Amino acid sequence: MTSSSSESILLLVPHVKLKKNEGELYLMSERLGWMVGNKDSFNVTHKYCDIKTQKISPEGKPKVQLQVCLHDGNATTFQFVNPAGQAEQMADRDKVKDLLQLTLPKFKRMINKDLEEKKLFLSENPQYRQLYMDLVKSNVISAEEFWADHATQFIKQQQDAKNASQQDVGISASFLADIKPQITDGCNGGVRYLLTSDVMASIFRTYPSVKQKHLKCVPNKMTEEEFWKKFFSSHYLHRDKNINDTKDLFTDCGKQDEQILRQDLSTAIKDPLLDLTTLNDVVEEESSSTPSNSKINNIAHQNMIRRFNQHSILVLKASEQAPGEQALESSVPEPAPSKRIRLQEAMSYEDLESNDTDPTVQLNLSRIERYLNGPPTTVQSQTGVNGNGLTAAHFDIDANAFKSILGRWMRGGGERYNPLDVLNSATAVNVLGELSIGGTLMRGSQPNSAIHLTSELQKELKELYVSLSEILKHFWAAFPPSSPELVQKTNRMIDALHKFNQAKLAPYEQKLIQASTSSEAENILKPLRFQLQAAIRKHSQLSERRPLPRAAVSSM
Amino acid sequence: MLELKHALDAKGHCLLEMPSGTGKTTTLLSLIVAYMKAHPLDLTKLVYCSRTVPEIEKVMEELRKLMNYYEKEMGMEQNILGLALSSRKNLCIHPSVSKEREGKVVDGRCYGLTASFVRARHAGDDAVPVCNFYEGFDAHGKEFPLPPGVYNLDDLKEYGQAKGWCPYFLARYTITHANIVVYSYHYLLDPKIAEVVSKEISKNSVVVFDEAHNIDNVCIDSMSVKITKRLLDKASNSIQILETTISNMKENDNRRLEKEYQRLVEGLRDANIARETDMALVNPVLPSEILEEAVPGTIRTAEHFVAFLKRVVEYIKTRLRVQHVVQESPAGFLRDIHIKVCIDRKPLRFTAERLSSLIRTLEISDLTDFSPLVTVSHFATLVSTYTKGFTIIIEPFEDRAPTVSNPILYFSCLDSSIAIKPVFNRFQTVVITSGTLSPLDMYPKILDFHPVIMTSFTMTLARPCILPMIVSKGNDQVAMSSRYETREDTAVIRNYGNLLVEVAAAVPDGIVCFFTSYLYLETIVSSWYDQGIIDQLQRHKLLFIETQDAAETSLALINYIKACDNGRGAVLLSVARGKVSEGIDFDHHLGRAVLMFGIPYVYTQSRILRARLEYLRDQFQIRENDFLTFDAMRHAAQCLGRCMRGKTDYGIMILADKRFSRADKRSKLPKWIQEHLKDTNCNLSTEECVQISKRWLRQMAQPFSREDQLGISLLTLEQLQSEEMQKKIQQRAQAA
Repeated sequence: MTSSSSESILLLVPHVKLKKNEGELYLMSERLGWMVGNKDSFNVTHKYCDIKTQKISPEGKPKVQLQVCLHDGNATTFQFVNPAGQAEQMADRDKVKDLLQLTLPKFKRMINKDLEEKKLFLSENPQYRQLYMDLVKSNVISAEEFWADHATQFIKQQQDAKNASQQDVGISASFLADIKPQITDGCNGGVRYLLTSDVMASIFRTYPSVKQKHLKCVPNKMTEEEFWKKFFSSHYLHRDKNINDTKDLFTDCGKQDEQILRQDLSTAIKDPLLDLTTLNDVVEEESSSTPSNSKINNIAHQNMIRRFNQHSILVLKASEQAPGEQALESSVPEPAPSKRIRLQEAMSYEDLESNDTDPTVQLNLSRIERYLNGPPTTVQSQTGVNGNGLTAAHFDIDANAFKSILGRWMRGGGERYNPLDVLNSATAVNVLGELSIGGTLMRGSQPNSAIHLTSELQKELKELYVSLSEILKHFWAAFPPSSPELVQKTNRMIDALHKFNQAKLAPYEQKLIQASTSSEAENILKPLRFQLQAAIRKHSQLSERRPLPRAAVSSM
Repeated sequence: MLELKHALDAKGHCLLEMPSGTGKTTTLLSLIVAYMKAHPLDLTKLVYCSRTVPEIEKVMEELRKLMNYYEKEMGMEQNILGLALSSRKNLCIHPSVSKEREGKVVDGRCYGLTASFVRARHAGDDAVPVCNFYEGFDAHGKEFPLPPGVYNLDDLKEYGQAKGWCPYFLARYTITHANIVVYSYHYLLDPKIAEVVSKEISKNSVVVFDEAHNIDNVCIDSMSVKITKRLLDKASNSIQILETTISNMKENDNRRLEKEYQRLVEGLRDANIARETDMALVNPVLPSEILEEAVPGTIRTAEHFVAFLKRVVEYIKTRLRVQHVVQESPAGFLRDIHIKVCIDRKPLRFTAERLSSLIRTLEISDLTDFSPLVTVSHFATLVSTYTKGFTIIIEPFEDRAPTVSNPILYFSCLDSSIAIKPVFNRFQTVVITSGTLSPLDMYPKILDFHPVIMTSFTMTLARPCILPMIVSKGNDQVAMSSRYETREDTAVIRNYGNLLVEVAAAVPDGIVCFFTSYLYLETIVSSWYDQGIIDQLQRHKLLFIETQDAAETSLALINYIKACDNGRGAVLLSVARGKVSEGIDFDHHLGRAVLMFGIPYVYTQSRILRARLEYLRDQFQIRENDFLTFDAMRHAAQCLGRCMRGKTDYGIMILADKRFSRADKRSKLPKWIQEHLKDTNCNLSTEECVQISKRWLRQMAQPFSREDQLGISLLTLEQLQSEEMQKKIQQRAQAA
C-alpha cells in the first residue's frame, strides 16, 4: 500500500495511536491513512466512500478517541495522544472530526445512491436477489462482475433512466400567488413584487401570448422592468379587472387567450359522457340564450371565475406539453375514446369478472424418462449419451441421413406419394425393435424415478439451476473466443464454474445423499453435471489448442 | 329483487331507493327480463326511462351484457328486441342535417325534408329535396322488422346506414313491437311528446323511472309555460307570416283552405291519416282531456283563426304591461280574457289543435321560427283546459333588479301528479328508483299514487367506503352556515375557505364542492379571492369552477378530469341543482371528497314556489317547511352521491352547515349515508374534520383485494349456494 504522490494531503496529525502503535494520521482528498512513525507507507487506509460514520469518545473520558465505522462492518479506532495534554488532544481530534464531517457527506451521497439503487433493485427482483446470494455470497463471482455482467436487467434499467430525460416538472398553480405584493416600507407606500426567474418561466410557459408580447416589446419599446411593472398591473394579477381597458398593454393578450379558449370549446369536448350540452335528450323549450336572465350585476365576478378556469386550463396545458420542440409532436390529437368503450368502462366491475386462469399448471408427462433424460438417440445411443462428445463426423452422418430422408419426402410430395418410401426396411425394423418390449424406447420408467424431494431441497435445486445457467449463459456467450477479452471471460467463467461445483453442487449432493439414496441424487444432478461437463470439456479443448496463460483446468 | 318481484306480482307500483353502483340497473333489467320470459302474457314490455343520454346508453350496454349472458347460458339466440330512442339530434344520419348541433334546428330541418306534403311535392318535382334515408325507411323499413337484439343509439345509426333507413323513424316505428324500450323521461311524461311517441305502448308494460329523484319537477316543467315579452313579439311576427301565407294561398290555391274548413266542420280531425312525420306540433294537453268534438265555428276559417290568435297575443301583451305582480287562477284569467277581448273558453281550448292543422295546410316546412307562437298556443290550450292545479303569475320585473322592466308571464303547474297520473293509470307496474329518494314517503304524496312496495336499501360493504361528516364550525368556533342572515358574513366565508384549503391539502386527487346557488358561488369566489384563499388553494390543487355556460363548464370539466388523471389533483366548484350535480359522476379518484357548502334550499322568495307550496299545503297537507327541507336534502344527497359510484369506490362527504346536524335534516338523508354518519361526526370543527379524514384516508389507501370482499360484498357461486347463505336469504324473504 503506497500513498500516491498526486493526492493532496489535507491534514496531517501526528501523535495518533492505532492498536498501541503511535503514528501519524493523514487526511487526503479521497481517503484517510495512518502510518507508523517513521515508515513511508500507510499501514491502514480507508477510502472516504467506504466510511459509514465516525464516532468520537464522549467528553470526560481519559482517552481521546475517534472511530471510523466502515460499510462492511469493520471499524478502526484512532487514539489521539498529543503529549501537550488533553486539551491539545481534543483539538487534534476535533480538527479531524470537522474535516471528516465536511468531506464524508460528499462521498457518502455518491456511494449511497449507487448502493441504494442496487439494494432496491435486488429487493424488487427476487430472482436476482437469489442469484446474488448464490453467486456473490459464495464467492463464485465477485460483486462487481455480478453487477456488470449478470444483472442485465439492472443495467438496462439504469440506461433507461439515463436515456429518458428527466420528467418535466409541472407548473405550480399558484405561481402568480407567489409574487405576492409585499409592502416594503410604510413611508412611500410602495409595493414590491417578488419576481424570480422560475416565476418568469412559469408565466411564459403558461401564457404564450405574454411571451410573444415580451419578445416583441422588451428590448425595443420598453425595458424589462417596465414590462413586468405593466404585467403586474394587468388583469393577470388582478383578476377582477375588466379586460376592456384599451390602454392596457395586455388587453390583446387577454383577447388572444380568450380566443384559444373559444377554439378549445369547439374542438376539445370529445368525450360524450362529459358534454353537458348534449346531456339532455329533449330540446328545451325556451333556450336560455337570452342573456337578460343571467345576473346583470356581477359581470366582474363571472369574469373572475372564467379567468380562474382559464388559468387552470392553461397551467395544465403547459405542463402537458414538454417545453420546446416536442410540443408539436405530442399535441397530435389522439382519437377520441370510442363511446362504447367508455360505456363499457363505466359499468364493468373488476371483481365480478371471472378470473379463470389457474396459476399452477399440472405438468402431465406421458413419459417421465424422456423428460428426465431427453430423447435417446436411437442410432448412436452408445456414443451419444455416454459422453465422449459428439464429433463433427457424427453430425455429418446424421445430417446426411436426414437430408436424404427429407429429399425423399419432398419428392414424394411432388409425385405420387408412397408412404413406404419414408423409411427403409432396416430402419423400420430397428424402430420396431426399439418400440417392442425390451427396446430402448419401451424401457418402462423405473418405479422410483418419481423422485420426491422435500420442498426445501426442491427450492435449492431450482436455485442451483438458475445460478448455473446464468454462469453458463455467459460462458457460452463468449464463444467463439476471438479476442483476448473473450478468452479471459471464458477463463473467468470456467473458474466460476469450478467454484460453483465445489461450493454449491458438492454440498448439495451431500445433502441429497443424506436425504435419499445416492443413485437418486445422481439422477437428479445428472443434467446439471452434464451441462457443467460440456462447458468444461469445451474449454479444455480450447486450451489444448492454444496455450492459455493460466493453470490447466482441473478435471472433475 | 324480492321487492321488485312482489310489485310485479301485485301489478302495483313501487318505489325503491338503492345506492348508486350497487347494480340497480342490472337488477331491474335481469329480473324484469326473466319475468317477461316466464310470463309472456302478463308482461309484454319494459319501458325504461332514464334522465340523460349517457345514462340511456349505459342502460343499453347493461342490457347487451345481460343478453350475451343469456345467450351463453342458454346456448341460443334470444328473441328479445331492445332499443334506445333519442331525439333526432342524436339519431340523425342525414349528411347535412346531422351536422347541426342544436336539437331544434335538426327537428325543423328534418320536418322540412320528410313532411308528407314535401314528399308529395318531391314526387312531382325532383328538385324538391327529401331525406333519402326516410324514403328508404318508408319504402322498405316497415315490412322487415328489426331483428331481435340490443340496439343502442350507435347501433341504430349503423343499422340505418347499412340499410339506408332513417334510424329515428325506424326506432319510433319499432317501439310498438320492441320488448324493451329505453328512452328519456320526457317521452312518457311530457304530453307533447308522449302523444307522438308512446301512444301505442301496451298496458301490460313495466315502466321504470331511473334516477327519479327529480321526477316531480320534470312533471311540472312539462306542463308549465313561460312567456316573455320577446317571445310575444316573435309570436306576432309569426302571425304576420301566417297572414301573408294565407292571403297568398287564397289567390293561388283556395281549394286547400276550403278543404280544411270542410274537414273541420265535419269534425274529422283525424280524417286524413296523420302521418308520423307530420306530428311536428302536438297538443300539450293529456290525451284524456282532449275534446272529442269538432273545432268550434269561430276559428274554423284560416283568417278568423289568425285574427283570433292575434287577439290572444295582444291580450297577453296588455297583461304584461302591469306595474305590479299579479297572481291569478286560470279561471280568473279566462273570465278576464272573456270580458276584455271576448274570447270564449272553448275556442281557446282548440288553439293548439287548430294551429297545427293550419300549419299543415299551409305547408310551412320551416317550423323553427314558429316555436314562440306554438308556445303561446300551448298556453292558451292549457289555461283553458285546466282550472285546478295551475296558477298564473305575471311579474313585471325581477326581484333582484326592480328597475329593469322584464315582464314575464308564468303559467305554472303546481301539481306534479297531473302529468304522471296517466302513466300510473295506464301501466300495470311503475317502478320509481334512484340512489337518493329519501324521504321516501314524500313521493307518493306529491305524485299522488299508492305504491305497493316502498323500500330503501343500504349497501353491504367490506369496509367503510364513505365518511360522511357534518362540519359545523371553523377553527375559530364561528358557526358555519349558509343561512340567509349569516351567508354574507366574512367569518363564515373565510371558514368555508379554510375548510376547503385544509381538505385540499389532505385529500388526494379530485375534490368536488357544491354551493347552494350560482349567485352564492360567485360572491364566495370573489371574497375568497380578496381574502387570498384562492391563492392558498392553488398551491395544493388546480381550481375549476362551473359557470352558467354549459360548453365552458364542459371544458372545465374535461380539464378537471385531466388534472385528476395526471396526478395533479384539482378542485371543482360547482352548484347544487346545476348541470354538473345532475349528470356527471365523479367516481374513484375524480371525487375523493365532496363538500357541500350550505343547505341547497330552493330560492324561497320565488312566487312560483310560494304558489306551489300553498297548493301542496292545501291539497296534500304537506307543510311548507317539510317540502322545502325534503327538496333541499334530496339535492344535497344527490350531490354527495356523486362521489360514490360503487363498492370499490370511496369518498369523504363533508356537509358544511350547522343545520345539517339537526334531526329533521339528518333523518332525511338516504339510509346508506345515514348508516355511516356517526353521532360523533355530527358537530366537528375544521381541524377535527381534517384529522378524521386523514386517518380514514390512510385506512382506505390500503390495498383492497377480492379476498377482502369475498363473503361480505362479493359472493362466489359456492358461497351463494351454501346452506348458510340460503338460510339468510330465506330469513330476509320472510321478514320482508
